[in-house]
Amino acid sequence: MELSLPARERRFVASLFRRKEAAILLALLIMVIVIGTIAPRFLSGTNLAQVSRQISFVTIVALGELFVILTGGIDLSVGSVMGWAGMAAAWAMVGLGWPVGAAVAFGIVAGLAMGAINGSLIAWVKIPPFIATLGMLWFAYGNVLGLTKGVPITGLPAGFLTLSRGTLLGIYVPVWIALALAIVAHVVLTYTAFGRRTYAIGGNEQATFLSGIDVDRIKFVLYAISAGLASISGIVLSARLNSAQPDTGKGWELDAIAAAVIGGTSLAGGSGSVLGVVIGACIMGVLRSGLLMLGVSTYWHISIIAVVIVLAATLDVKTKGK
Amino acid sequence: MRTRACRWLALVTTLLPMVVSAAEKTFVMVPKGVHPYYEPCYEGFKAAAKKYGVNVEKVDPQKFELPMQVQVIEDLIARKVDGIAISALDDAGLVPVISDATKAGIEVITFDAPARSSEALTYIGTDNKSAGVAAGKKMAELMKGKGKIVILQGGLGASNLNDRTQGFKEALAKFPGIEVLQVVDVAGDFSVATNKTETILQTYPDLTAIFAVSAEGAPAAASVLKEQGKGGKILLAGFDDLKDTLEGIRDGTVAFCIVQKTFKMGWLSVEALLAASEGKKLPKETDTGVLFVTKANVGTYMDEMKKEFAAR
Repeated sequence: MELSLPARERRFVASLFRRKEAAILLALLIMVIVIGTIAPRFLSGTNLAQVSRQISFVTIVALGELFVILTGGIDLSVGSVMGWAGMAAAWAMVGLGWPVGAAVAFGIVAGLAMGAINGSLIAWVKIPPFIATLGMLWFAYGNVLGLTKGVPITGLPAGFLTLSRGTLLGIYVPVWIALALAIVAHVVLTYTAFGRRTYAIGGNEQATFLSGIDVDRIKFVLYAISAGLASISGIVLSARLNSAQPDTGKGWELDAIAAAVIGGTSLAGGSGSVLGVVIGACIMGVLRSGLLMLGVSTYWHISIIAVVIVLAATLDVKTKGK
Repeated sequence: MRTRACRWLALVTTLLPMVVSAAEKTFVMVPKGVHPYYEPCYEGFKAAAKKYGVNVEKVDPQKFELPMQVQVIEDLIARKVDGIAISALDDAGLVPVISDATKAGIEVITFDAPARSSEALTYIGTDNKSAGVAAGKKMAELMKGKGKIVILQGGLGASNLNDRTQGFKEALAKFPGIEVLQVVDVAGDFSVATNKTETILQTYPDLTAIFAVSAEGAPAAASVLKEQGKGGKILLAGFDDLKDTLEGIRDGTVAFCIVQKTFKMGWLSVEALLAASEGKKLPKETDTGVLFVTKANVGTYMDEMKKEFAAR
């Protein structure tokens, strides 16, 4: 592509196109333009604000998945941990009468506890991540069911609801939370030793271990991070739904993993980026909302979304390494 | 001497309960899964059991999945219970296991969700199509015969939901001024229903009403309407009486909800199983009907449903 720009600028633009995420970012932009052309209402300020809020919840969970998938692991329990943490926070507010801040902290701690269990089983007992987190999926969900008997916790205080309904500069709070967490995640993964070591474990675990790095401790922390992020998402989602539902988060592990994978995260470990994950989550969210707005028959939604996800992943695989 | 007495005691304490309970029949309720919806069903089941002197239990499949429900029923066949009342997760899928149960001499009926291809002796529950029709008529009344409406459905594969939607649309078809814009799949998920309601409000700014054929729809849509300050401005109604839905009725966001007579389903199930075990013939289906809950009766409808049976 020939641009009539001075050499340095031309190299910069070319390097942008070479970035791994360029392909899926382009795909996202094309989708938004196509949907926006057929249904202009999609591009209205209100709708974009709402769609970005809808996307923020999966994004937060997907960031957690990114951390563990980078080491070649996986966390199947994130969905259940979302429900678990949401329920813990709601119970603290409604059952114990705690103030919102303390209750939210309690919910996150409850989730981190599950993450610590995951991390211990995987890092030190050496249970494969798939099995350990699958067990946790059932354990956390089962606990929620047993404790709530399937009844949601309602009557959440108004202050708590601002976590989902409040806006700053026209953007909803959950979007700001997702943005902040994404920036922190990016900084950790790109500029800290911890982040570099995470990538290293994914690239070659043996070599990393032999070079004296405490691989086990890093893995433990990663699964705790994944659970912690899922907890935050679950709690904010409960604020949005105005209740802690036992089924909150059910099935979300698949969405989170899909977002990460569309965004270029390799399930074998060692490659993936925060930007990719965010774009992946956006693609899924825009599709879901867009298809509905276009009036596409609901019966076809799931197939169409599946096709687009596979296409996006293919695009990503084909443009890697350029 | 002591060991002989011990052995005698052991024999008696083992056989005695068997002898005693042999006189009392055991009926087991098998819902689709763990869900508070079945609590009033089981209340009715227990209440009737008390009246008629039978033992009852409830065994929930751990998940809303057919293989798990089949397994629960197989366990009950092995335990040789006297009767099973199933809320069927699937029609064709339960045919083999219900056939096995019947061959083993167990009376099998369905409640709440039918399995019409199977050997179940009867179905006790809501006739979903007529419930949908009744709801449609009421909605059309509130819409004054004109306007645009969207239907929220929790899963497009569920036959009971499809029946409700079909009935609802049939009733609305009689009003040429009413347009059904879309039937939206909310996958039985609160959060999906919330997201989709938001998108629908953006897509159709002149929307008059929203109707939810499954329980999670009304509360989810209510919370969106409340957040956008449209509570009461867009008509909202739906099936089932979840806590949030009743809240919505009290504060005017939800116009009405349709309640299935779950207590009645449980009660009649015991009566049906008892009749079957005495060799009586059962009707193919019993429509337990529905009840409309509005602001007027939101506080009293539960007790009224139960009073219907206290007199019996």
